[in-house]
Amino acid sequence: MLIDLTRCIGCDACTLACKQENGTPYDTFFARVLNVEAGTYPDVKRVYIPVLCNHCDDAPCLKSCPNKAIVRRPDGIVLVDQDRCRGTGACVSACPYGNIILHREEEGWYLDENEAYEKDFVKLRMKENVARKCTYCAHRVDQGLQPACVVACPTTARIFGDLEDPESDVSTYIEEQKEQTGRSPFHLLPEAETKPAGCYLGTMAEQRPSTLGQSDGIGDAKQEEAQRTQRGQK
Amino acid sequence: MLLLAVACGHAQTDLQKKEVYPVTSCMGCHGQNAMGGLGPPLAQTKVGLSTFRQVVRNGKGMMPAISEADLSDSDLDQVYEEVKAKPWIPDEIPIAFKVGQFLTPRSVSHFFIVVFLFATVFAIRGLSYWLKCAGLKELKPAIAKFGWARSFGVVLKSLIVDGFLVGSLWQNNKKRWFMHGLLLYGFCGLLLADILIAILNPQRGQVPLTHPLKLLPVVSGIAVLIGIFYVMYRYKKDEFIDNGLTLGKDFLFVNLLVHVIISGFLVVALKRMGIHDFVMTIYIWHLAAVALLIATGPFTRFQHMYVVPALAAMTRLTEAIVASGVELGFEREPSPGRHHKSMKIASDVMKQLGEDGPITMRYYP
Repeated sequence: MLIDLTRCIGCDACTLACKQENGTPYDTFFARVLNVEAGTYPDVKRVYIPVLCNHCDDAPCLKSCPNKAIVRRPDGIVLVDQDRCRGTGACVSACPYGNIILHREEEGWYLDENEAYEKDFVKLRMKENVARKCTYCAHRVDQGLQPACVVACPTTARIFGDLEDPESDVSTYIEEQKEQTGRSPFHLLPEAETKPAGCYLGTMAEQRPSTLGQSDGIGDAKQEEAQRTQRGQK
Repeated sequence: MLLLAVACGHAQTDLQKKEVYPVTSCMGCHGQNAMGGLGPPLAQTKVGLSTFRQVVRNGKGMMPAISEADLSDSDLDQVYEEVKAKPWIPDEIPIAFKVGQFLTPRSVSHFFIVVFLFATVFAIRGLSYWLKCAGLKELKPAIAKFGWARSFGVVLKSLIVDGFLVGSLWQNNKKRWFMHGLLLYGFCGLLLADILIAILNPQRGQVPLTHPLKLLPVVSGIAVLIGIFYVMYRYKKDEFIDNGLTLGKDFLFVNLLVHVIISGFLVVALKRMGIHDFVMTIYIWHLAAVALLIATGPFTRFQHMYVVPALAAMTRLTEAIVASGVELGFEREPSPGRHHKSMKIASDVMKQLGEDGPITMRYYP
């Protein structure tokens, strides 16, 4: 999955879509959006960083699980087997991204337990006292659908597909962006050496907020210089 | 490690006129022609009679002390005369002794100290990787607010309950806990036996099988053996066993442990049965397997012994910090307990975007 940070507007539609799709209880968020304020006044910037399980190639959670309850499907999706997990909690700490969630205390559910949605769909996949994480909506992917968060994103900041397939949406988008904006995808915490499947494209806006409306802004300065040279040539 | 214990046969003192050496237990280790076996060659010995007597009566290194009940003073003197008179046949010095003569308790312990240090360095390196994954550095301010002593208590409790007692297995599957316990506590028993034997250093040849120092390693060894064979059986039938990343490392650990245990039992059994011919070879096999098990430890399944408890303890510590409501500068966090990791991700992203500077995380803006 590729997440374009320039496109993300921090609306948390993915967060909600994920909760709705997976029926996660309170305090369980497979998809989160980090609202980050960077810099000091007046050079302040807000960046939204949507985070979810990266389905790493060299997944630390998978290596740390003493019960072999975390498996990796041939298509690369890393899943926590709800029947095998014994709630040891090693994976929770092992994940450098903090994307595995394990609640040992009693959980709060949004809907009544007897509702059909809870009884037949949610509770089967949300056993108590076991570790849970984003599944890339494996149940949807198996049916040829896209993950709920991808479908819900109003700005199509999330692009889902097979990175190894050059024809896939995600590969063509990466190629396009390389040509058009010169951005290439990066991974979160590369020093953790987890080879994540999820990658990000950086923000594009170069202008600093403090220089808005002034002529000495970086973008403006370049433009003016170009205009000056053009005038000079004339 | 199972250590050498040489059983003493009974000297038959009624054959005074004939040669005494062939009927004593000496021959078992020192060879038919006194050219060595498990022990050094005695033929043409340059050792004086008084030293000879002293070594036999008090033992030396792997050599057990032999009491007067087993070998009378006169027989001892006669054995000395006999072996001194035996011809020196260099071809008969067995390879086992040539290798074995380097296996003094001192050299073996030095070797194992080196192996252990090697393993420790890599184990610490591995552990620091996992603690980095767990975000220990980022969690430090929260730990400081929570209290270092309190944190230590939480970690210690988790190491005992989640680590040593394997609480998660106990809660979920008693049978699994028992089989895991056979391995875990059997292994601890072997370790404890080794430490006790090293400290108390009894004359092992003289110690009966019912002695605690003999019983502990034997019972522990049997427990580990049952446990490891169950694991091998499970590897055959469990479809989940190959997670694509760790299977080779798991196999290496299991196989090395099998070698360690089987060779250890063979050493004890062969000595008890009085078959000394292969003891040294098997003992070297045993030492090599133990050394390999320790040296490869930080890279094989062995590492789950310290990695899983450490990670589980970190999880419990984070849970305790969240539950205590230590003020982190925000009211509420989605999926509590991952703020420190979120901050790490955020600062990493800002760094990768070329934005150095302070960052603040806003939840539920």
